Amino acid sequence: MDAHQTSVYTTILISSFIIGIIILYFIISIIYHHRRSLTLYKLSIEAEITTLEKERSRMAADLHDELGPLLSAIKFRVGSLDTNSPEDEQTIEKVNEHIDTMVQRMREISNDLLPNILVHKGVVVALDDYINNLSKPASLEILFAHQDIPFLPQESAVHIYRMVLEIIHNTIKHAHASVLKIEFRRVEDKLVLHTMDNGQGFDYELTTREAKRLGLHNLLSRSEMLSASLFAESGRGKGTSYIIEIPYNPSV
Amino acid sequence: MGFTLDLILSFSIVIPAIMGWTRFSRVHPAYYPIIFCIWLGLANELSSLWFIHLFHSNAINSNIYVLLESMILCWQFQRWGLFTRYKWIYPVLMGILFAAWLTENFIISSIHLFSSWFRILYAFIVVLLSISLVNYQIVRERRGMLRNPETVISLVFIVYYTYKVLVETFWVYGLNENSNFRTHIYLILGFINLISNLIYALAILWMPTKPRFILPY
Amino acid sequence: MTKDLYAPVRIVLADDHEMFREGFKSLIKKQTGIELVGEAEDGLELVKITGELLPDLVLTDIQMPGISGIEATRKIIALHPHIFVIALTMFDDEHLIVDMLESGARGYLLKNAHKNEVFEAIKTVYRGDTYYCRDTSAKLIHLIAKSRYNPYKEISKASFNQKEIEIIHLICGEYSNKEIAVKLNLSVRTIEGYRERIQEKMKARNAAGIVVYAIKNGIYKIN
Repeated sequence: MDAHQTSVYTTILISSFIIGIIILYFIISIIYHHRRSLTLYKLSIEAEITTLEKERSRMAADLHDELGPLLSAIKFRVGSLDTNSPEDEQTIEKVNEHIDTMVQRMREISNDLLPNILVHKGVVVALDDYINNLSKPASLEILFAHQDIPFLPQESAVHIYRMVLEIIHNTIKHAHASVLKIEFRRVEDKLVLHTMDNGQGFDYELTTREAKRLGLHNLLSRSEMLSASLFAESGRGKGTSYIIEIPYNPSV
Repeated sequence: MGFTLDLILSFSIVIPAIMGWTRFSRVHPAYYPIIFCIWLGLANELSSLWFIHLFHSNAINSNIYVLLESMILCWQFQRWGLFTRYKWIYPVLMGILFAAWLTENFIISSIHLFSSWFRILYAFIVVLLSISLVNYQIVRERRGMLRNPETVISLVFIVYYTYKVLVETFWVYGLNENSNFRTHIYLILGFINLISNLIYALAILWMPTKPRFILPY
Repeated sequence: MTKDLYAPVRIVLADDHEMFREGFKSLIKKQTGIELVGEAEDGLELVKITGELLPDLVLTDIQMPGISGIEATRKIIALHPHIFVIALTMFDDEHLIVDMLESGARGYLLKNAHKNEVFEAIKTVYRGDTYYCRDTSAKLIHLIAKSRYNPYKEISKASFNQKEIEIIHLICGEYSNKEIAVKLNLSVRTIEGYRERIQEKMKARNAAGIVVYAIKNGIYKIN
């Protein structure tokens, strides 16, 4: 190998070495920045959802503390009016009816915002309650089975509650299923929520449009807030199944 | 010593092959192609030994192997969802690879010679596909990038196949005349191969049984 | 302590919303048979005032600062078993009513109940019977029925004839008097008569009372 060839070879070796360094650096940089982007993204989602839930909680409290007592007070005061004319009696009764309707409506709104039963009795009881009182199509049967679920902090309970409601809502609206099974069990250090329906499924490939319809963003965001893993399986005509594995450490 | 080292470095593919065999039942079907590819690689190494013993050249089995390898890798990228937006690219790519292979092995050159142009072409394509996959995953992956076996494998591909392109280019321009140079290059490639195989084995270990749900885009 | 049926019923009211207390006061003011002797804003104050004033009845909100209505009820019943407690519920804490009943409350009222119902509840509980608000939802009845709460342990079980049991079943099935009359081929007046007799035997004041009694005593089973 003469001097010229040696220098050519050395050049080639050095340049390929340099290319290698560049590629390696590029890879490391990608990983680092991706992680940063993830953290920022997570923070923003957290902020969004936390703000949302705080507002809902505040509104439910306002209904309970301000509007509720006011309505009762109105009804009592109106009821304490003395009247001699039967017409006025009728008016008082009508007023009572209106107030009752308002109270009923407020009950529903308050329940939608933040069900009190969720706060006091936990997510399992709240879900049972919700399913039993749900006005669903007669063709759909919802089965809820649970085992060994501890009492969770309110934040987590709310997320789980909302996720299940989202799934139920999707099933009713899109799946045309006859059975929806929901299982919530504790498996070692995880709480596993498994839902399956025998409906028409959705096509993952076409799902960008459908994702918005099915509120899948919502499911993903909330499961991330729980640091949970979300698995979904669906196919045209094969039904839809969701598995959410929520890590749980009882030390808290 | 040199030959033994070479042998160890090339047969390091046994490690991911065994890993793939033991984990096969628990791995999601989306990851089958890469495992097949690794087994195929092992088969190629073995048949190379046999061919060299018989015919003094492993050009034939090697050429056939690179065709299969290129097509299986394309298949794997398709399984990983790289072509969902532009479905037509996949069959076109397969067609180009096959046509190029035929052209080089039967028209321009011969199947008894190493088809360097094809190797350059397919290595280049694999690098580009790997870069695309990594970027595709950057947007979708919500955990750390390194936790995703697809990303890890693609990153390894980028390094390995870039080097393959470089090396094959060297050979095309006749740099393999000097055996000293050739030995050095093959040594480096061998180590890259070893590390790649170890990383493949790790990736197989991490392959999930069911796919995590990630929003498509 | 024997109850003087001619003296006004002395009650203490506990609720953390002043507006509600004021409204309630205005209602009670015009009733001669009922006297509001004390008010409390939270659970601790309630227990204290009850101990000092020894009223006949306590009407209390369920969710209050300090100790909750449930805790306060337990304490009051423990210290003064002859003082009866009525729970007051807003629209969103039905599930806590069962807890109140299990803690010893003798009945409950919705805070937007009709004034006649308020008076009736006070009268009934004063006599020692239980009172369930008329607008009790089916869901709540089932919750009560499934719970540990059972006020009928001491009352001697009344017996009902075949016809009465049939009617009880229909009432539990949420049929109106008219519908029951059609089903059994009797006049509405007859049904109303039966119903009165049933309620007398059960010491129930409305349909809710009938249903809870029926479930607790095994006359009617929910599937």
